Parts: sequence; C-alpha cells; structure tokens
Amino acid sequence: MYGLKGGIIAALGTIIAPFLIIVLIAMFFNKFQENIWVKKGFKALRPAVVALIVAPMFSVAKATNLTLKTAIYPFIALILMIVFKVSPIWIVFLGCLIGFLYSLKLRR
Amino acid sequence: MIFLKLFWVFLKIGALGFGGGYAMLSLIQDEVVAKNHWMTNEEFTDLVAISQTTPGPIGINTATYAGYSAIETAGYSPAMSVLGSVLATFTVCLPAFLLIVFISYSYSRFQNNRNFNALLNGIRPLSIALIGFAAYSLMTPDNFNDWLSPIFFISALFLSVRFKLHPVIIILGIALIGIIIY
Repeated sequence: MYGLKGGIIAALGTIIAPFLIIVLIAMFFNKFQENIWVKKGFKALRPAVVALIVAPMFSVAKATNLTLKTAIYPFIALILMIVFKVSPIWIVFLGCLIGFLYSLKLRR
Repeated sequence: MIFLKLFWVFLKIGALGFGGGYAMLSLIQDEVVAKNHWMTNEEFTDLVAISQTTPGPIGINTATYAGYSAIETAGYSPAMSVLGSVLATFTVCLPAFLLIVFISYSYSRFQNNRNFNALLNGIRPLSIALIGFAAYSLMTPDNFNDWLSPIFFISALFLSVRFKLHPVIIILGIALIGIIIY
C-alpha cells in the first residue's frame, strides 16, 4: 500500500506548481489583458500558437510511419470532424474500435 | 449544477485523452469552447500560449484554467472559482492516474496485453487528425486578424519543424516582435 501513497504524493508534487501558476494567471489575466503590451504581444502570438499546434502533427506522422496510403485514415477522421461536425470524442471511440477489430483480424 | 457539469466534462476528457496533450486539445476545445461556452476561442488560444510557456502538461493546464473561468462565468466568487480549477484539474488526471496505478500493479501482464496495444494502435494515427482539428478550430478571423498573421504562422511553423526550436523560445520571441512592431 506504500506504493499507492507514493504514487499519490508524486502525482501531487508534479501537479501543484503548474496548478498554482495557472490559477494565478486565471485570477489576474483579465487585468493583464487591458495592458497595451500584453495586447500587442498576444496579437502576434495567436497565429504562432496555431502553428505550434500544427507542428507536432509532423513528429507524430514520423513516429507512426505515416505513408500516403495510411494517411487516408486520419484524413477521413479530419473530414468527419470538419465537414460532418462529428465530435472529437467519437473519433477517439472510433480509433479504439478500429484498433480492436484489427487485432481480432490479426489473431485469426 | 455547474460543478457537476465541470466534473463530468473533465472526466470525459481525462478518460478519452489518448494520443497526448495536443490531441487532447481538440477534445477540450470542443467541450469548453464549442459546447459549453466557458471561454472564447481567443481566450483558448491565449491559454494554449500560456500553457506552452509555463511548466506542466498542456492538457492539465488547460483544465485548471477552464475550471476557473467556467465557475467565474457562472457568476461565482474567486474562491469558488479556485475550487472549480481544483475540481477540473483533479478529474482530468483521475482516469489516467487510476489506469497507471492499475498498470503498475499488473505490469508484466498488461505489457503484453494485445487488446490494450490494439487500442493504442488504433488511436495513434488518429491523433494526427485530432491535433489537426484543434489547429483548424483555432484558425479563426479573430486569431488571424491582419496581413502579418500568416507571416507569424509560417515563421513559427518553420522554426519549430525545421529548426526544432523550443516552443517557449518561439513564443517569447514572437511576443517581443509583436510588442515592437504593433
């Protein structure tokens, strides 16, 4: 049982500092937002942030050995979400289902 | 009951956040901005910027902030809002924590568990789509509001993918440029 206690304490230890920082920012961000420098900084930042979200797609594509043939799979998922407004939650479920069915096929 | 709603939303996000922090962003954006209107798309983008420059996983940081602003938007006091961030942070970690505890108790058995590996194999390629959707949701006119925006977008992407520059450096650098030129 000491293991579980250690696990809880280690988890708390890692979470607590970032937690306090974000709570402080959440409490005072409204006031910062009025600051002209903050406004200017964030105006430039927002498109860069979107780019920083796009960037990991490249590393994930590399890590999963994505080829033109297998890229069809995430492509369809993206179309489902953007065009057919399917919630990302269903995409996660879909992934679980496909992975599971595929393993059944392999076992046979 | 806003607290119950917060609990349920972040439990869902925590349980289904396969594929890492960035894939999780699309789930969070969908729930927190699109469905529940706890914050605007602009606020969400700012929050991602803040999360990338502060320590801690991006998914958990976003939960902390969203928990606070959800309760604040509902008209409660700052103290109650802090309680909201505690609740959101706790619930978003809970499923993964339980899973990891379970795995460490039965590690050798679980390592070879084909069903679990199959599950992850199904998710991995899809996480690209989830990350892509998070980026797509944030490509709004509010976030790209003048002719310089695409330049900032392309240069940040280039610096990150080609030169592997750390996000913190890119963010601080571009914020500084913004302060100077705007």
